Parts: sequence; C-alpha cells; structure tokens
Amino acid sequence: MTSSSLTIDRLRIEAFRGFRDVREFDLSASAVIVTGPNGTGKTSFFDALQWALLGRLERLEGLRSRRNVEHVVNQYRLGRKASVEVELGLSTGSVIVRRTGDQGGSTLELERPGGASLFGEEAESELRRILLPNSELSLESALTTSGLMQQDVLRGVLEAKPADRYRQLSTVLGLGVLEDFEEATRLAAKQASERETQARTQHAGINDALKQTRDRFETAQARLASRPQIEAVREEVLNALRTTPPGISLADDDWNLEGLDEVRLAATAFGVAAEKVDSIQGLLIRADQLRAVVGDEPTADQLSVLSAEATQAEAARSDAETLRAAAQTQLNTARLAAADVAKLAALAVPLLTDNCPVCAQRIDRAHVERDLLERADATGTLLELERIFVERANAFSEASAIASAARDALSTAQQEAARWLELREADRASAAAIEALAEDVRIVAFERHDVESFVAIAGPATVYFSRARRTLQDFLETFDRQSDQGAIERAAAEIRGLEGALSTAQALLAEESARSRKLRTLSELTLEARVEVTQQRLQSIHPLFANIFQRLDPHPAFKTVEFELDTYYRRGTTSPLVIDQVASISADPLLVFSTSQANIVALSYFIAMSLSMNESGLPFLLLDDPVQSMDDVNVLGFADLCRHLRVHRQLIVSTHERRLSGLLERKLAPRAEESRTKIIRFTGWDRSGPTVDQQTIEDQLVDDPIRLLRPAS
Amino acid sequence: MNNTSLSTRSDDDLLRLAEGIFSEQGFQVETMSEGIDLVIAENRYFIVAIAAMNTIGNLILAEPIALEALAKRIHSVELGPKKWDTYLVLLTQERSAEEDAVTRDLYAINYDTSSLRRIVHTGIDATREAVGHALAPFIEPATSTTSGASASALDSLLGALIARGVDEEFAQRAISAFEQGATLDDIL
Repeated sequence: MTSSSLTIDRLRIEAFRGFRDVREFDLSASAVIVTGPNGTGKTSFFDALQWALLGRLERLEGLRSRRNVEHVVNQYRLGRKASVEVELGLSTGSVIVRRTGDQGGSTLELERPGGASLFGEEAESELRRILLPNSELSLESALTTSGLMQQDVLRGVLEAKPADRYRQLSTVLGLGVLEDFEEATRLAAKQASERETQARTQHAGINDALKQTRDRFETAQARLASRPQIEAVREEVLNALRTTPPGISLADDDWNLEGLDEVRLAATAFGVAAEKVDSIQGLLIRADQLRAVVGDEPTADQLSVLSAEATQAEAARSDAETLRAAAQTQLNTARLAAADVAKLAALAVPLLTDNCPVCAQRIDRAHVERDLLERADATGTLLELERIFVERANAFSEASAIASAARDALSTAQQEAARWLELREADRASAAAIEALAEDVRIVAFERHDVESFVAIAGPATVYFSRARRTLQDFLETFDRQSDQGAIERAAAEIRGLEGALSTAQALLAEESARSRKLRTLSELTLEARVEVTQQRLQSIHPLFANIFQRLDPHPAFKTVEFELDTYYRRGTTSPLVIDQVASISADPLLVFSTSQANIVALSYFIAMSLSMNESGLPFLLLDDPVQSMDDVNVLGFADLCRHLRVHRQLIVSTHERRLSGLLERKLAPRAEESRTKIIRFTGWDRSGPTVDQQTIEDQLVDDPIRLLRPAS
Repeated sequence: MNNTSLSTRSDDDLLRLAEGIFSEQGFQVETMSEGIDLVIAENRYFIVAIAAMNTIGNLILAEPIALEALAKRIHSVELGPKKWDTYLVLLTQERSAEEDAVTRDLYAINYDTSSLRRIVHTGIDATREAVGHALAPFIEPATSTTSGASASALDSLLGALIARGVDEEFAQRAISAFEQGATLDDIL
C-alpha cells in the first residue's frame, strides 16, 4: 500500500448522477486506474467521491441556483435520495462515510470502528479531522486545490484571475493567515491614526480656547488700565448728586459710589424718590382742581331742611297724584254710562212701536221715557266730573314741580358737600405723603415737610431726582467696566484650567502619535514581510512545480515554469510563466502553449500542490482524465510520474485513452510486496448505470527486480 | 568518425554526476564503454543509460551509437515488463543552438517513440542540480520543500518582521494577540 496510513477502500454509489442502481467499487489499492470510453460514468465516479466528501459538486455549482434542476439524483430515480458510501481504511479500522441527499441538500453519516455514528455537522467535522489531521485547511480547500482534479477544472488554474490564483496558492501554502494578519495590522494602524487625529483635533480645540481666553484676559486687563477715567466720571456723578435744589440736601454726604452695588442701590433710591415726589404732586394737583370748583359748603342743617322739604314736596305730589287718579276713574265711569245711553237712544228711537218686535209684548212707553230721563240726569254729572279731574290734574302738576325743585336743591347741596369731602381728603393725603417722605426717601433730607414748602420745591425736586437717577444709570454702564476685574480673574482661572487640559491633551496626542506611528510601521513592514514570506513559500514550491513540469516536458524550448508573485493594491497576485532559459524568454503559457501543453502546466501545478502539502495534505490524489490531448511522449512522462505519486498517497487516475490505460497498467503494476494496483474498466452504460469490470493487476518482478545489472553484493 | 573518437568527446563531468545521483537514489549503477561511454543505472522500475557529450552536434552523432550499444546490452537479458521502462538519456552542456535544423533533430530524437525512448537535454551545467533536473523522471520527486515551508507562516512572518527592525517583543505580542483573536489595538 502507500506510505500513507489512510486509503479509500470502497465506494458504493446508488441513484447518483449516472448511477441508477447500486454499484460498488473495491479501491483498496495504492493505485487505481479507472478507464473506459467517454460517457460511461468515469466522471460520475469522481463526482460521487467529491459529493460524498463535500456534499457539493464544484464543477456543477452553477446548476444549484436553477429551480427544478436536479443535478445530484439519477434522472431515473428522481424523487428519491442519492446515496454514496465511502469506506476509509485506517490503521485503527474502517470508517464508513455515507451521504444521502439531493441538489437541495444532503446529510452525512459517519460510522467509526467501535464508536457511535455521527451525523451532520459532527460527522463533517470528524471527516475533516480524519482526512486532514495535520492541517487547518478546510476539506473543500484541500480537495479542490490538491486532492481532486477534474477535467472540467483542469485549466481553471491558468484561466483564473491572478488574485484568485494567488488566494488558491496562499490557501494551500497556509498563507491566508498572513493576509488576515496584515489586514488586522492595517486596521489597527487605521484606528490608531483616527485616534491620533481625534487627539490632534482635541488638542487644537483646547489650544484655540486657551488662545481666546488669553485674548479675553488681555482685553480685560487693558480695560482695567482705563480705571482713572471712571474715577473722573464718579466725581462728576457725586457733584451732580450734591447739587441739590433748595430745600433738599443729601442725607449722607460721605458717598463714594465705589462699589457697583452701591451705585445700583443709589440709582434705585433716586428712582423711588422721583416716583414719590411725582405721586405727591399728583395729589396736590387734584386738590387744587377741587378747590377751584367748590362753592360754599352747605351746613348740616341746610342739608336737613332741604331733605325735609324734598320729602314733604314728594308727599304732596303723591297725594295730588292719588286725587287725580280717583277723578280720572269717576270721569271714565261717567263717560261709559253716557255712551251706553247714547247707544240705547239710538237703538230705541226707530224701534218704538206698540209692541216689542222681539217678544211681541206691549212696550211700556212711560217706563222708557222715565229711564231715558234718568240717564240724561247722569250726563250732567259727567261734566261736573270732567271739571273736577282737570282741577286735580293741575294740582298734581304743581305738586310735581315743587317736589322736583326740592330734590334738585337737595342733590346740589349733597354734591357740593361731597366735593368738599374729597378736597379735604386730598389735602390730608398730600400732607401725609409729604410727611412720609422722611421715611420713604432716605437718600435726601427735606428741610420742611409741609404742603406749602413742598409745592415750592416739588418741580425742582422732580427734575433733580430724575437727573440723578439717569446720571447714576449712565454711571452704572460706565462702572460695568469695573467688572473687568472679575473677568480677569475668571479668565485667569479658565487659563489655568485650559493649560492643565492642554497639557493632558498634549500627553495624549504624543501617546496616540507614537502608537499610530508604531502601528503604521508595523502595518507597512508586515506588508513587506508578508510578501517576503509568501515569495519564500512560493519559491519553495517552484522547484517541485518545475520538476513535475520537466518530467512531462511538453515544449521543446520552454523547459521550465514558475509562478510570478506581485502585489497589486496590497493584494497578492500570481501568474504562471513558462521560461525558455536558453533564449531568456518567459511568457504566459496560455499565450504560447497549445491546449495540451497548457493542460500540462495546469496538471504540473496541481500535482506540485498535492506533493508540497506533504503530511498536511489529503492522503489521496484523484485525477480525472488528466492527459487529454497529450502526445505520446508526455503521456509516457505522466505514466512514469504516477509511479512516484502512488508512493506517498493513494492514486486514483482515470483516462479514456486506451494507450494511457495500457501504459498505466504496465507502469503501475506492483513491483513491491506492499503495493497493490486495481483497474476499473467502465465498459459501457445503460439506464441502470455503468457496466463495470474490476480487476487487480498482478505483481511484476517483485522477487527479481534487477535484470540488467549485477545486483550489488 | 570512429567509436574511440566519440569516447574522447564524452563529458565525463556530467557522467560522474549522473552516476553519483543514481547511486544516491538506490539505483544499481555501472559504466560501460562500447564505442561510447555510458552510465547504466537500474532500480526496480527503470533501466536508464546516460550518454554525455561535449557538444550538441556530437550528441546527435552519438545518439544512434549509444542506442545500439544499449540495445546490445539489453538484448542478452530477459527484461520482461522492464522493456517498457528502459531509457537512453543524452546530456550536453552546450546550450541549444537556435538553428532550426538542430532543433528539429533534437525534437525528432525526443519524440521518437518507435523504439526505446531517448531523452535529450542540452544546456546541462556540470552541477548536481542541473543533472538532477535532467534525470528527474526517474527519481522520486521531493515531497518536502524548503525549510521555510515547515515553519508556521506566522512564525516565518515574525522572523521577517524582526529582521526588518521590529521590536521582537512587540512583534511577538502582535502575533499572539492575532492568534488569540484579540484586537491588535491592545498590544501597545
């Protein structure tokens, strides 16, 4: 067997791609040759291995996005699950890996010798651990870059973008971590730079604030220097205050108005004094106005007599009114009776017949006559009543006039009395307010506190107080400059605080700058170091790559090959170059090589990748039809190469070419006891799946391998 | 041209190097001089005869003679399946001329599979490396690469950083933080 401790011993395929029915393959050999014409199931065989290990088919991933396209399950078994089982032979026993599923997804089951089965993620993880015990690579990365090479992706390595190829190489060489580290240092440097910028901005902000505060401090100091002018203004104000009108003097002549509060209080006091004087003046003016309009003051007796007269006149008027009303009533009654007689007479005269036209009784004429006469007597009374009414109405008018005059006289007397009362009240209030000035206005002293004196000084006093208040307010504005002292003190305190903050900010800035510089240097040097290490690693694979390429020797002039490493925008790129060392020419193989020659470059690369991984790589190498279009010499070189490949890893190689198949059969026939070679011939295909013939190739020359030369003694 | 004169034009340096390389690889090795100096090496897989000449012209002249000498040698032995694994390798230090006729002649030798396979290598310097490359198809490819590959990539990077003047402790701290998944912001 191989020197590797693990081989794929068995493969069982059912309902998977080209396999409708179950097919089982014995792969327990260090080399397995899979041969047969195109279309007989060889690629499905390799697909099955890939699907069992990864759960996906790299070359058919594009189909996954299509709906209703089943690319995993056999077309004659749609609706069922595909199943692929792989038996892995380990030194400790066999592990069976079984995957079932379809294009929508699959499940992995892993049976360990003597242990419970694992499923799903656990099984996937255990499978990776078994196949790649010495590597951090993912199974997919390992398989697609150095484990399984399929014809569809053979030249992908040449046609890939340089950055993608670099990534693939980096992955296999374990260099992806370097790019991650480089990115981490770049990010750390960027963040440190941002913090440095913030610290610088903060420092500049504090510096600006300090400068502004210093300016303010200096301005306040300059203002303070103009203090003598304020002294002069103060003297002017004091002189103005001392210049009092006659009858008024300053209560306290020792004023100095040094403090802002003192000035403010004085201004308020003079304001109050002005308002008080104004108020008293208002009272005096009102008293004068009343005094100008009042006549003789009615006495209480006069008011009493007038009141009695008014009452009496009112009573007389009321009596007259009563009498007039009674006459009116009588007159009205009489007028109604007269009206009735007139109507009756008017009705009776035409109806005076012997008999009543209504009741037909005889009319008593004497009675009618008598009745009319009586009513005529009543009409005479009416005239008398009218006379009486007129007489009483006149009496009422007269009484009303007398009552009205009496009321007017009383009202006039009462109003005069009220004005007198108000006048006395105003005089009393003025006098009280004048007297109260001593208490209310303490800022000045009035010589006298009587009304006459006050009237004399009220005008000048008002002018004086108002002017004093205005002067003091003006002085307040001027005096505000004195607050510069406070401003200076505040600014000084602020400067001290800002200087402390600036010192802290300077220290922080220095720290962040040093940190940023250090991380930036680390980031830049990491880029250089990463390129150096990557180049070293790539160069380490170059001899192997060139060695494999030279064995296959596809071109008469371009005899060697290498990968050129470059860095583009901090990202690594690699491009394959074939080299004519004699003519010192190097070129992209896709430009100067034929398809078969380019395929050999790709194959060399893939095999070199597999060999370079050594113990950390997969324990098998699966090559699906690698020698398409190769000429005989290259095929021969490849067959010889396969002898070496099988030594350290299980080799499973397929070909549709009979010449290679025969050649491999001969070249890979075991020549050592520990070797075993199997050949699987796909002879045809029907709807049940491939028809397969499996054989073990017999040993050759195991006992007597040296034939030409004398064996060493 | 006689056989003696061809022998005098052999490149003994290349032959000695080839002999040494095969011996080291566990091949049985012999030299023979049947009109041309040949080194013959054999292991369980291959029989390889090596002829080395001083010029490309002599190499082309020597090819049929060497082929005949090898054929004679193997004719007397029952090689069995090894007859498919017998090669004649022709080496010269002279670099391939750009003359088309010579290129065609060399191509014709290399790509003639009608009889025993011959492989021509021109421009082979008299060094172990150059001769080893020429004989590579018969030798197992080295699976372990340079020593750099055996160290972890981050260890190599650490060495490269230190070589560039980065403080060792600082660089080590950065890499340790990275390996532990911590932010590099904390390393200062």
